[in-house]
Amino acid sequence: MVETKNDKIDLKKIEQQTFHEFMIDGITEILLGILLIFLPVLFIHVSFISFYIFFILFAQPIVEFIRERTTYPRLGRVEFKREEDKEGYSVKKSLLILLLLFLGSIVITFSMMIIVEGEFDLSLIYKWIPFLFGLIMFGPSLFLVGKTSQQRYYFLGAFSTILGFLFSILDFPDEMIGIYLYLYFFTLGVLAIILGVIRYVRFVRTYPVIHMEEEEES
Amino acid sequence: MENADLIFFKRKTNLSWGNLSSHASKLENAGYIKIEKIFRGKKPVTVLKITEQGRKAFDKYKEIIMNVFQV
Repeated sequence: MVETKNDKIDLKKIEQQTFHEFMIDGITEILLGILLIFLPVLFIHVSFISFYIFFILFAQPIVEFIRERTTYPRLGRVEFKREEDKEGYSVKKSLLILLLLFLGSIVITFSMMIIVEGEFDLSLIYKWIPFLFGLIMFGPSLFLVGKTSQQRYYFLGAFSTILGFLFSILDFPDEMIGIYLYLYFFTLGVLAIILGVIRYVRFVRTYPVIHMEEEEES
Repeated sequence: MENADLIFFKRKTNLSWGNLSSHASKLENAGYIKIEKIFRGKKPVTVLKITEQGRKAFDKYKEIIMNVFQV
């Protein structure tokens, strides 16, 4: 069969490419970085969850505010179909996948703990939180790969897991366990912010603002 | 995708505003897209949305072109 240019004109692929395009402004990475840097405050006291609730409530409006002024005038704006409206979507299926991912991550973490530590000791779980978190990050990785068909997003889960494994096998004194946990999330967060800023700067330089016809005429 | 605004289409097609508007009107007249004017905040925005008829026409167009190249 002759492969034609039209083989590549596929509405599903266009949607994936468009979704990927709207990730290039780096704002998602910056947001993720901020979340990661402040995640360990939950280990200090559970009341800090109020910060997270505040963040979740206001993150979306803040991101939209920034995108209205920087991203949409350059890329335009696309409204994607909500997942709930797509054929084959099921809340149960999504929750099941999340549950399987979480349980799978726990099983792999405990297995790795037994292999490295030589024993199963629940008191060591704090040491293996970075590795567990890294595995859980494959969830967002898989989601992004599915939405964009870009294999590079596997890097998010792979890097978080490898970094988490390295942190987990290091020997820290018990009294420093909080600091080393914070160091893991802080490292991930800072790297995400740096990546986000680099992408933002490249994005702003690559895509000029497109002025609407009414603006050009005036 | 649910819909996209004119800036998106201008960037993707590199057409002038006049050409873009002309093509959009023809597609709307054929029933392949809907042109809607909505407000985002206080700003009026023109968005284009493909219809079911438009999707079917696009798939048929692809099929015809592929058959032409295979002959």
